[in-house]
Amino acid sequence: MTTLAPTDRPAPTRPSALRRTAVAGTGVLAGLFPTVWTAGTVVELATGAERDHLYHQVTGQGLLLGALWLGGLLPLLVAGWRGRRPAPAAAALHLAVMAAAVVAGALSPGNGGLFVAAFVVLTGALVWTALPLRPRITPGGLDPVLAPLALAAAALFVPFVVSESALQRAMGNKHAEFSHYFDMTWIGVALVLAAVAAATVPATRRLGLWAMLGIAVVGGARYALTPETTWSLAALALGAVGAAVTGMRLARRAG
Amino acid sequence: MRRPALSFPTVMRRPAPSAQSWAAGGLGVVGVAACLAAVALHTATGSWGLPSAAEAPVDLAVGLAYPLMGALVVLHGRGSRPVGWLLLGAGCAAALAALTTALAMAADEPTAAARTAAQLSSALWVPGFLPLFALLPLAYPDGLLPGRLWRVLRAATVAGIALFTVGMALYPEQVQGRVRLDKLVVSEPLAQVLVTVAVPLVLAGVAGGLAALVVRLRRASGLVRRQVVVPLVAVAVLVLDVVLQGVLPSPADVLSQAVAVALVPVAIGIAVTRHRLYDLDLAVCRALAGVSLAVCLSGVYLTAFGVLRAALADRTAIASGLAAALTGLLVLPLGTRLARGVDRLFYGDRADRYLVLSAFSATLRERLDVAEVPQAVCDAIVSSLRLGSAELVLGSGRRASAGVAGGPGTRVPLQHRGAELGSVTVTPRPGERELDERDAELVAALADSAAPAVAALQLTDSLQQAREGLVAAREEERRRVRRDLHDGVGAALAGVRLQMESARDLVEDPLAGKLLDAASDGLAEAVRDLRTVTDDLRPPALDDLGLAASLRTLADRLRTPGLEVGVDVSPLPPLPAAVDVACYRIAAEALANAVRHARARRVALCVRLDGGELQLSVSDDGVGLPQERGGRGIGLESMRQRTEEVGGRFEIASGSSGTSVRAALPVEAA
Repeated sequence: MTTLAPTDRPAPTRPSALRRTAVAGTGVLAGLFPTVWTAGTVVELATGAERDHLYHQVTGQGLLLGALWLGGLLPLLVAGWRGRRPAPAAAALHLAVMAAAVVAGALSPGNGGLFVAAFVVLTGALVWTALPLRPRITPGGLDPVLAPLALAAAALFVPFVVSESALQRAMGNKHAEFSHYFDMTWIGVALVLAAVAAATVPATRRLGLWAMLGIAVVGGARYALTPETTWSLAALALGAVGAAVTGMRLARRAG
Repeated sequence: MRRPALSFPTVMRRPAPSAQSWAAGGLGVVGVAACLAAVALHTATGSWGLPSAAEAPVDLAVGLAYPLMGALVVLHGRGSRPVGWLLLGAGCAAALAALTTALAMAADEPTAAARTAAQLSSALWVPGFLPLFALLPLAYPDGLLPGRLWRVLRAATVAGIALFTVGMALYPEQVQGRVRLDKLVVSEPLAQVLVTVAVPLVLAGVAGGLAALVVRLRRASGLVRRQVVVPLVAVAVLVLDVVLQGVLPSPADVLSQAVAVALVPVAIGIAVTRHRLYDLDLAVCRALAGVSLAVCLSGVYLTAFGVLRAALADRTAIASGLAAALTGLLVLPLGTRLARGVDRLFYGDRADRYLVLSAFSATLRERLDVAEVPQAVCDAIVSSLRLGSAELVLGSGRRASAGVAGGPGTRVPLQHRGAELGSVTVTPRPGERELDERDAELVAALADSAAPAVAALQLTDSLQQAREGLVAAREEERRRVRRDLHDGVGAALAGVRLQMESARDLVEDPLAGKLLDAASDGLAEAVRDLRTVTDDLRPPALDDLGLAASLRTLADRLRTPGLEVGVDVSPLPPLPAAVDVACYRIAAEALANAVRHARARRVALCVRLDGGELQLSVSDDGVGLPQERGGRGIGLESMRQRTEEVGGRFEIASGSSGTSVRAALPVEAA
């Protein structure tokens, strides 16, 4: 047997300075909002400011949104900077966040919703344009465990999204003025899309864990921080069970 | 030539459903129906919050989960029916307890029927709950007791449960629903006696049940051990929850108990699916596909309905119709894909023969080294079919394997153009008793696909062996020729030259002297040419000093103030000429590379004989190989060829911390 190391995988081609500048520039632009919003939320949570909005600080306009948005964006930027092909799971999550922003913007365009959606899509598209190698997201076999979880999540989140977007359009309280209902619509759709991607694209199965944990966070925060109980407990149960099942399957696959 | 038919166990035709099967199915349906009826009654009468319904979640959890699992085990399990009947019995009792409670609470008047329901509800929970602690652990997993003496404990436990049931039935208490209901027959003194006698028996049964599981765990190994561990944990959680009932606040106590009791059939389900308990694979596979499809279709319908209702401004009927139509359209494609997914979950890609074969063809296409084909075959069998293990043995003795053998092996011959090249032996998936016919057919198809490549490998092996033989013969011949030239012709020429020089000293004629001088010079030239020829045949140091001393000399020549060259050569026996030369040349090339290109400060040369192989390594702490050239132009190809010529292995690892060259040269084969 003969081996000449390193021969197992060709080394990634170092991107040109222009390409790296493009990746960094579009990355800064696309990461501006999620970074500023997440940092602001962290400060509010640390200082205890705006306690009336704790539910949204944890979920829609805060930590969960930041995790979903940056969780997809940052791996894309790192891969682009290094000249590698981005992981399908990160790319699918970023696409889910962008598509969800479009849906949320269409459902409640007022109060800056349309602007945020346009910003997310445009800056995201610039990042994808700047990448030296495009991610490969190839649909494959339907996962018999993740598919029902994703569709159950969709069934659970449709009334949630409809009611949240209606509240946003009505502009009836302070939460609507801060676009909190828009953000809840956004993360609700993003979580469902991420779960659907995990169920349909074999290379993105681990997104199922992200989606289910996110659903559990939304359900748990809503149960603990708002008067609503039935939907919250259902979301919490679905997210917890889904995360446990998905985690076990991922662990088993990883050996 | 036709492939010899594989021998498989005769597939038995499934017998017609027996009375037992009908009874099990019927009890399962009764249990689930009773629970659903109880839920409907409680919901309709709004009695969920009343004290008498406090334990309903526990009864419902047992009544729903246990009959289903029990029916599955009785209908499809082999040699495990006692466990199935136990699950069915406990589940149905709990379901009837839930139903009779709901009926009693829904009654408008204290009729005899309502009071009978109240009496039953106070007693039926006992056979629905206590067997889970005491009898189920005794019988799990194969329905047999751990030993003969355990029969006494089982009889005592059954008696205790029966006495406790009757005692609870006779205990005077009321059911509070729409009206307050008294039982038909009560006797507090008798109830107290029965319960007093029953409690120690039941407690002994619970302790014995846990002990039985522990005994099984200690006796078991491998798969059986894993089958026992999961339910043991579930039963332990259930016991712990019962112990904590007095501490937990309401309704956490009831809810935790409902979850804990439901864990037991879940644990058995895990043992069924993950550890192939009861041979329920096919049933579980179908059930999972069915449940998955049902949930998916419900999700699609509810999602579509929610979206359409919002889009159509609450026109519910239209939204409902459109959602139903969309769901109907998706039934077939979803069902097909989910069934395929479930099959893949259990059996890998067995169902998609084309996928397995095309993926394997792609692997063969991408692996340029034909020597890797046997390993590729084994990897493909284990990874794509999830079989336990695969071992490929060729006629030449070459072997490859993947996975861990855990059962009887099935041998599939590898044939090409009528000749048997070798065989692949595969073992079934962990927990399966034998190889399925479909698995064997696919393994045979993979073997057919791999056969031409394996034949090419055998041809390559033959060529390599011939090459090694030629090289060995060539080097031995060179050594012999060099020795003959050096010791024979060379010595003779040197002797003649000496004689001529002596003759020149004796001759006084100047002309004759010149001629003798010229002849002597010609002889000296011939001796030099001869030395050049002999030196080209073999490194002269090998014959003069031996391999070990030659390598030390080589290292000494390279040592400088800025470069430390360490040498570690173990004592070596006389080696075949081809190995001698290959080792010397490779060491010389690697040392020269380290000095010229690596900018190293320390180089280590190590040669030792290990297990019939001469192991050579040259390591340096230099800058590594230049990546852009991939090692070309610095003798790597030459070193590799020298190693392969004697049938050895050559490896080189390079990084920013240095380069390491290793060659293993077979001494015996050369």
